[in-house]
Amino acid sequence: MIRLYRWLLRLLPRDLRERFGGEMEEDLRRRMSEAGGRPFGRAVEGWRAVQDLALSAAALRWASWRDARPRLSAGSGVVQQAVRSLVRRRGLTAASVATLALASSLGFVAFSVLDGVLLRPLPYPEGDRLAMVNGASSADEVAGWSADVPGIEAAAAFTLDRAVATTPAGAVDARVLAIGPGFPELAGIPLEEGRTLASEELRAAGTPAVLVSRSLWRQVHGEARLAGQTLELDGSPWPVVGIVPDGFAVNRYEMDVYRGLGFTPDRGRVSALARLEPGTSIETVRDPLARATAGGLLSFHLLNDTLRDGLRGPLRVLLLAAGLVVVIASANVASLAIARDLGRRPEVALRRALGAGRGRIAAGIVVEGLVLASAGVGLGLLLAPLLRRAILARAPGFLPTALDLGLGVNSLAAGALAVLAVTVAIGIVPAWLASGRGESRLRAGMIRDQRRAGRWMAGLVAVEAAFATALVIGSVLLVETFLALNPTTPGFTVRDRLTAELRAPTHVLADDEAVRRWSDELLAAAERLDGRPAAALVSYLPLSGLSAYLPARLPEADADVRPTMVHHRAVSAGYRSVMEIPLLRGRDLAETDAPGASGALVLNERAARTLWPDGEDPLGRTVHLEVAQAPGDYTVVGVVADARGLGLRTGSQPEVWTSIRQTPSRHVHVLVAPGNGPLPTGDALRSALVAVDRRTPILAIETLGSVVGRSMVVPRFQLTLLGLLTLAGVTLAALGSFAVLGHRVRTVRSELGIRLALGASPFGIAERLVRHTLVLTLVGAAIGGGVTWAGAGWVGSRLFLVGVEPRDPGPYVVALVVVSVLALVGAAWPAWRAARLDPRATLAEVGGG
Amino acid sequence: MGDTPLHPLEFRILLVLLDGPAHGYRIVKAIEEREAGRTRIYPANLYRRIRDLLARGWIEETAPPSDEMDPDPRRTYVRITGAGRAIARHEAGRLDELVSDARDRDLLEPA
Repeated sequence: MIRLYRWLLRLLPRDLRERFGGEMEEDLRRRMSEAGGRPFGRAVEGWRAVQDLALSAAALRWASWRDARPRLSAGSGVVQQAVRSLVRRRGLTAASVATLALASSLGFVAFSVLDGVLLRPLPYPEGDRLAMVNGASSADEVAGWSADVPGIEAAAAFTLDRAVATTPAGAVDARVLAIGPGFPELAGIPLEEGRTLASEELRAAGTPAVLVSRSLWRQVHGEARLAGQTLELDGSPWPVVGIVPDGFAVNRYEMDVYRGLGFTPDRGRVSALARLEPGTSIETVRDPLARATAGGLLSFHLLNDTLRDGLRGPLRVLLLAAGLVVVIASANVASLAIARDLGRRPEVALRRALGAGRGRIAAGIVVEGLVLASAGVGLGLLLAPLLRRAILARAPGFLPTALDLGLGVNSLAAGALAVLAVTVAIGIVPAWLASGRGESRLRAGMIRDQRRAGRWMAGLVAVEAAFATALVIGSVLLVETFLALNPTTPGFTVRDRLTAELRAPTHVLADDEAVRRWSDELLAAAERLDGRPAAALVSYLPLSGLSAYLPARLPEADADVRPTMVHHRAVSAGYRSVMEIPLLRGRDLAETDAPGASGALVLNERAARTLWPDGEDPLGRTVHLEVAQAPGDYTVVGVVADARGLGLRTGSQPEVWTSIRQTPSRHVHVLVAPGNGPLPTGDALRSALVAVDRRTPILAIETLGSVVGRSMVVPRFQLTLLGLLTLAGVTLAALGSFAVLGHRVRTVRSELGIRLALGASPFGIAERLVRHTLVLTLVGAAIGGGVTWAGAGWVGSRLFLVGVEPRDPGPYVVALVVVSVLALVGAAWPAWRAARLDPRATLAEVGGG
Repeated sequence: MGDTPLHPLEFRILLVLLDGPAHGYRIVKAIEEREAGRTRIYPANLYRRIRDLLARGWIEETAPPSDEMDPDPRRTYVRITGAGRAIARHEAGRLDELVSDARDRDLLEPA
């Protein structure tokens, strides 16, 4: 008990403890000794003494804090003093506020994106309990789940469809979500005008009615209010009963039209939106649901996972980067604070001599830091919406529109608190240093505190260099990824290629021969353009994000061997030459590969290696393909070089081509290359294609480079964001070097003057100072590089990296060089000023001081 | 000096010291004896009051009294100062007024 009491004496203020601690302990011993005769007497005395000690310590600490805390009464107080002090030092204050504004605005945007992607609930009723299901056979089957599948509270079927909407400007392709009963309530489809679809409007043979998106409504009816108008879809008028705001999406499906599932042809499979019962995990529902689906469950995922998976990793890294920038900025502000506070040493010493406590003075300086941080945060709040808009505008499609990424109160509050907390935490030490002792030993105290402050500032420079190094390494990795994904080398020619994406008009959809004629006419129209361009058709362009993924099987393979999945394109005879994909063996598809002839197949090297891993020659071999229009056996007639197909990230995949005449496609890209003259314009191509059939919806006309460029959205967005953060971080780190070396020059000014007077060369003076900064920077860079190296696995698994290893030495070397160069840039001005010191003036100051 | 009441323990300490210099433990025992065991004073509470009284100059450190049988060199002996006497007198007068008031209202037996 005595030992415990002795240890608890530390709770008391030092002066009381040092003066009377021994006596207190002795008194307790005597008490316990005197109480030894009573039952449990010693324990009771000891316990009461401990209680007394704790209460007294608490009372004394409270009284001390109450005396030291700033009074915030109107008309006087520390806040006003802080503001006056900051205004007196306008330059330093402006630099600090600007730094904090930049850091806090970055923090706000990062927090809002993270909050929206990872934390905020989905914008659907009970969104956390919603799941996407694929594999149901019909809407009736889905309707029975709530009764037959334990754990499912409600479910509604839907399927994706397309239709041609007639607008004053012509036919447009409309994305249609065909929904079953209960869907509007489950998904919480919002409405700007009108009402939702009623149950009888969603069933087969029910009342026709649709909801339309605001953007499609504008295309058809402009700004007119909803009042009984209709929308012509596939040639038939549909009453519009409600308008859905733009931006609403179910999962990633942002649709133009919502109508009843009963009006969509039965394809044998539907998707479904299901709400789990509270407290039910998806795993407990999976098996019962699979048993309840006649065709076999294809997929079953929580909507949360579907929307957020794949984003968590990169966004965590980006948030870390934003955090590094905030710390660098706060370290800079702390450095500026140290430089400022050491300039008021005489004032502090005088106040200490008059009896002001160190805690009180330090508290006042911390309040100054808080006022500064608040101003910076306030300015950051103004900048944040602009920054957010600029950043998110470069990421279309990267972040699902279903996620709310606005600057919510939570993200703003979190960002503001983070900046204030970091600023205060880093500012406490400078405040304590500035409030140091030295009344009667003023000069000695100043020198000692200057040196201590100098060491602290040096430490901050090293910390900033470490963080800046980590940022630069991340940016270089992303730049390398970007270059590795260079669209000029995807395996086919991208330059000087124009594409048009079309869907077959509704009236030809059901007839293969009509689709074939439509395709032929499109190709002929493109070839007749001015300049006689080379033209080709392909069902889905490479790197367009679209593909037909089919099972391919060798007839001689055993029935129980799983088929090989390949990407299929239906192409016209000139496709390979227009894309300039090398033919390696055999022949290209030709006009003679037409209906009635045996099925011809061209495949890429990857497909050949996958289907015949032993390296057999595929020419003349037969492959069974489950092509939708014409399943059957196809003979390999040629092998082409690999090209990136589905996405730049995924590299080359097994790919097969069939003749578009033998396997007509309802979705085509028309591809045009320069012929005798320049490449036709987009308008010319559009006119030519519309002239074939005015009812053909043209989905897009753009260059092939633009199509391919869309596959770069993810790495481009990452690079842009991280690049911005890195630029901010290294700039701030350079400013930190500037501030530290400036402080050092001020503190060793007299010494420099003496050296110069004794004949030291100005260059030597500058070189020593710069070397000092460089050493600090290199130490920090080494630490930053080491930590990044150690965490490279974590970073690499979360960032979109292609063709680079996170531990490649290249980025680390580049980071070292960049950070060092910027430190030198920051140190250049103070070093130059030091070299220009007038020794006589400096010595005069020393003599007079 | 105002009418701000002195902390009861501080007043008691001053009263004890009117009898002469003492160290902390002796002060505690003297108070507890006078209170007939109704009050228990523990070290932290006592010594923080002694520290405050020292800071205000109402008591001061002193050498052990000459008649001390076995002076303990580890102990801090204190004695009341002139200012301390004045404070104690003032506090006693204040309490006397309160007691008189209570007697006038028949709250206490007449003196």
